[in-house]
Amino acid sequence: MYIVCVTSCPTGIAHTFMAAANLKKAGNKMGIEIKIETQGAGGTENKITEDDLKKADGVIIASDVSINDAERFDKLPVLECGVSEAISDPEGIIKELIEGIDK
Amino acid sequence: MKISNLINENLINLELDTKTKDETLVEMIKMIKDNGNITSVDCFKEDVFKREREGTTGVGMGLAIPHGKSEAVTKECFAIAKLKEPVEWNSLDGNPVSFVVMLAVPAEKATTLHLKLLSKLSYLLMDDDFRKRLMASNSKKELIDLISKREEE
Repeated sequence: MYIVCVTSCPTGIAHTFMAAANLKKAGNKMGIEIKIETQGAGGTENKITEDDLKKADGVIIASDVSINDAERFDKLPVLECGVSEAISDPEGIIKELIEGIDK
Repeated sequence: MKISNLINENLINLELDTKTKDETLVEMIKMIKDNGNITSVDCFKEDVFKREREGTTGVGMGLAIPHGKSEAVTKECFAIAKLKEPVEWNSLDGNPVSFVVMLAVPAEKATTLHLKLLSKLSYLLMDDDFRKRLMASNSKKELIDLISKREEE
């Protein structure tokens, strides 16, 4: 299982990075490989590559604003949620995505 | 340039005695003004309160990270307050807040490096062990040292 995520928020300094930290932490705990691209005030970091997209089983977009390049995920199962949800319940979101993929 | 360069002892209050979220925000904004990082309390306050209306900055675990992107900010920084009594913050986990980290971000021409440092601080605050140590600290110097050490890891 390989999951790619994008996090973003209005200011692009705090919630974007707290969500990234907690998704990463939850992924590690659940034994799931996870990569998180942050679209913050300082620009896009840890960008999801073509290779990542080929490998990915699903996508989590945790954002309160529209993200850049959303169309690259068109062919993958995508779960969208608010950035706060990814901070408070990252495991729940990852589980929800996985359940969606398994169906 | 390090995260710990964006704070000093004047930007820390270890026993802030406030009763509400709004009062806490205002006291911390004054602290940032006194340290010379913003030009106007009112202007920065407006932007910090605007951000609060967009969604809670109480992220749970007793921690809040209010922030404002504002024309009033001339020099990026962050401030820390430990509250004498926890205050209601409409947090994600419903718990009151006892530890507040406020970020001051310029509206334009922000140095990308400084933004990245503040972002990294937000990231590191989600590390349970690091956050607990910060919240338990009773010394300004120790707080700065903890941040300084953690960012070098």
